[in-house]
Amino acid sequence: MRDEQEYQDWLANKQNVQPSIELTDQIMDTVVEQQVLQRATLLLRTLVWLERTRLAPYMACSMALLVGAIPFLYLAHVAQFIAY
Amino acid sequence: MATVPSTADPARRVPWVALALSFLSAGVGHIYCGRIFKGLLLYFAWFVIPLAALIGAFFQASLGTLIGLILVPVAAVTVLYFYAASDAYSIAKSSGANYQLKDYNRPAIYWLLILVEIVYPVSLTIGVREYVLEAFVLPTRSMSPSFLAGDRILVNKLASRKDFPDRGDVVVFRNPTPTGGRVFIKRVIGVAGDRVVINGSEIEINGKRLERERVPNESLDAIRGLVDGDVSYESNSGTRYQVMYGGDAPADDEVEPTEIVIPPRSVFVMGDNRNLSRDSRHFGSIHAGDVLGYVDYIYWPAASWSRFGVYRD
Repeated sequence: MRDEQEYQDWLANKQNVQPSIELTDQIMDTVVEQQVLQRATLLLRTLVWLERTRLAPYMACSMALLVGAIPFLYLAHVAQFIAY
Repeated sequence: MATVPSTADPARRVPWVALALSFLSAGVGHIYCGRIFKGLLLYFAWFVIPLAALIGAFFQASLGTLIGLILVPVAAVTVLYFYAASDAYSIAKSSGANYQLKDYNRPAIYWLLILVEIVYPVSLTIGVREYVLEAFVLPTRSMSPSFLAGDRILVNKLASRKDFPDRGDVVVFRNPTPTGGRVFIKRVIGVAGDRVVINGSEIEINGKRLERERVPNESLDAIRGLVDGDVSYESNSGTRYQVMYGGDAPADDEVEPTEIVIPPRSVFVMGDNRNLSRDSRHFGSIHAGDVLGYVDYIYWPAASWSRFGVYRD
């Protein structure tokens, strides 16, 4: 019975202890850093994969065609073929 | 998966990079590959469109002018754009690693050229539209049978700066009413100083009635189904054009008889579809300064390509 009482007191004391704010900040900062690192790694891996496949050139050329077509699209708009 | 060649060697000309640069701006792919003169020629090819349109606007309207100075340059620049891309790719592929870097092979130069190339053709197009030629698509039947709803027309804006509208001209002008579209297209019936009397379908200019002659049905084969009234040739001061009365529009008798002396620097305009047009009979004469230009061409007819080309009465 005595041991049980000591145990309950010890447990109550431990539960009343407030964690250090600095320690909490450190843990949360580490979590955020890990998340950013994971995202950066994922992006890097995706870029490496794109670079190694033919997708990168296709994507770059498609984007370039899209941008380069702007003057032609505007001309089509002026000629009343595209309305927006 | 196949792999692309390494781009580690800075002198190596990568074909897909040349292609992408050329897509971004015709000619930059060639500059990337060391062909600066050909690149600059392709780069400035866009100037051909406004320059040719400007020259074309000074000429008398003709089918040759429309095709040679307006449509062909647009088609040619479009073809050149894709040719430049294909050619830059081939040049980069053939030069490969055996390339000596030139002074102008700098990313900053490429990006500057690309930025300018995107801005200047759009600016030139805006300039041409504002001051030289403007395209319109007709939303209504108020000018049938001369112009049908859906016709795409080219309006010469240079002419309006040198001439005063004459009887029979088809003009585009700023909408004088608070409702409706930005501009209207109508035919000039009377000019400054004229006394215009309109009573039903009868029109008198300075005491002389405008003569009409019925258009034979065979002449309307191309637009049959799009005109639903009686089409006649109307003669006005030496010009002859088609007008339409009747159809599903309200009768002329519903329009109040009008008599007006046209004020100085003004014109009296009417739609060719007389029963379906809101024009000077409703909003009065318009000031010549509100005329934006004269209709020269139908470059994309709504019906029958036999109507393509110069607008003729």
